[in-house]
Amino acid sequence: MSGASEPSVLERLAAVCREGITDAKVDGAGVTMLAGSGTRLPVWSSDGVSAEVEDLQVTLGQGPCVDAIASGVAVLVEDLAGPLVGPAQGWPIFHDEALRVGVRAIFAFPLVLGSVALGSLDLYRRTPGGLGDVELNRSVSTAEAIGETLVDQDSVSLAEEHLGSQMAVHRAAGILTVQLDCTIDEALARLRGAAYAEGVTVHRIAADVEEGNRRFSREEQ
Amino acid sequence: MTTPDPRYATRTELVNKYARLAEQYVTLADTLVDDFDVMEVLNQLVRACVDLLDVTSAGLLLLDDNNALQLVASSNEATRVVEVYQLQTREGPCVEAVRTSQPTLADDLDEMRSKWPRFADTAESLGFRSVHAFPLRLREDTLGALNLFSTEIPSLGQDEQRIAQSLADLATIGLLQQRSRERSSLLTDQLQTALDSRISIEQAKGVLFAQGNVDMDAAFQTLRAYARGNNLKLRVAAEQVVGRKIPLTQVLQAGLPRP
Repeated sequence: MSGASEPSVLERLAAVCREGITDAKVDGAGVTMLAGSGTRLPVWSSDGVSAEVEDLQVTLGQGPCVDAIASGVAVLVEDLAGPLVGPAQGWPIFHDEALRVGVRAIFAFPLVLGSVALGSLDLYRRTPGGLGDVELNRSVSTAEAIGETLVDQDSVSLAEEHLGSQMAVHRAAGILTVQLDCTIDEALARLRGAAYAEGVTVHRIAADVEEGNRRFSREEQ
Repeated sequence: MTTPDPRYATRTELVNKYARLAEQYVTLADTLVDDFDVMEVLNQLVRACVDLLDVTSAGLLLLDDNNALQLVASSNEATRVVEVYQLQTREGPCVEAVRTSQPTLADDLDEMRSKWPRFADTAESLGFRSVHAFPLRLREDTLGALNLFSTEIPSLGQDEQRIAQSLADLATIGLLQQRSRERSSLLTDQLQTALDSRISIEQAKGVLFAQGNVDMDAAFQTLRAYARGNNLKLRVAAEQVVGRKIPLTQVLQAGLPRP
């Protein structure tokens, strides 16, 4: 029986991440989980910039943590400014958007348990500069600790309770399948596309759709 | 003045070499990240014991879910040898080693006969004069024991005992890591499935909300009623709705109050 004083999975996750931010000497962190179907669910971020970093990667379907999960290795970019070289070539749109919101350096780590990719950890800095050896080792440890925190007896409650705004996007997608007579994947793509085109978060669009303030039609592009 | 036995001198060097090797293996085992074939590794281990330690036979017993010892690997498949191992699951130095988590040596046949008569009989009939059992332990966990049978006394010198315990430690680390990996994989799977369920259900709510022109709460209740009425898991019903595997009118009807 857990008492009221026992920290929830989310609280423990936040504690691990905050410690990780200090250890790595970065400005912020964001964690996204991967559902079995491959759907990405941002679950925690330390500030508005991190939240945008996570959301952008879901909306655009590209970014360092997308690559980190696919490859199973960390993606480290010391300076997003300057010529588009190295890993950033794989995510040119995210690259521009990240710079726009104030990210200058970004380090993405896959969260792997056993041989399964459970999600990703993004660390960012507002100033250029890479991770030193000590900071890199500590970040890898942070990623491991995050994985262990998420995979917990209480993890189902994490899925149930703490992903509210993410779930609003999926409800809105369900609505769009009726409005547009399309598949759920097309609906999600339309929502994300609209968010990117209009320069707002996908959550804003989803809220408008659910509240009835916005309808989508097939003619709209 | 005694001439040093050249065979012994060589053997000492070999033993020292293997001791160092074994200790390196223990360090390496800590970094294992890949899945490995447990049975293959344990079989290699018991054969390595016979090769490196000059014992006649080696067997490895592990505790099962009911906390009973089971023979898991044996260097010698001969039935009678296996039988003596099987007896070890109930009585003998192996049981002692697991119980105490300490290496246990039995090399006095008289003592063995009085303590473990059936085991002593069988061991003796095979020409075994000593059994040395090394626990598979790591901190609080004891998983089983490595048993080394010899036809000679003493069976193992100090260095060889060190190697034997090192090999047992190696097996323990590997086994514990494998169990940990399996548990992690299972939990991760459960979590990711739970996330998928939640996603499908939320998507289905949106569909029913839009199609049925009802509020989200009613949409959810409709989904539940449809799932119950058709004996489906909520997640499966949700997937059917989202994938349009059944007409939505049929689902929405489930949510209507009975006439």
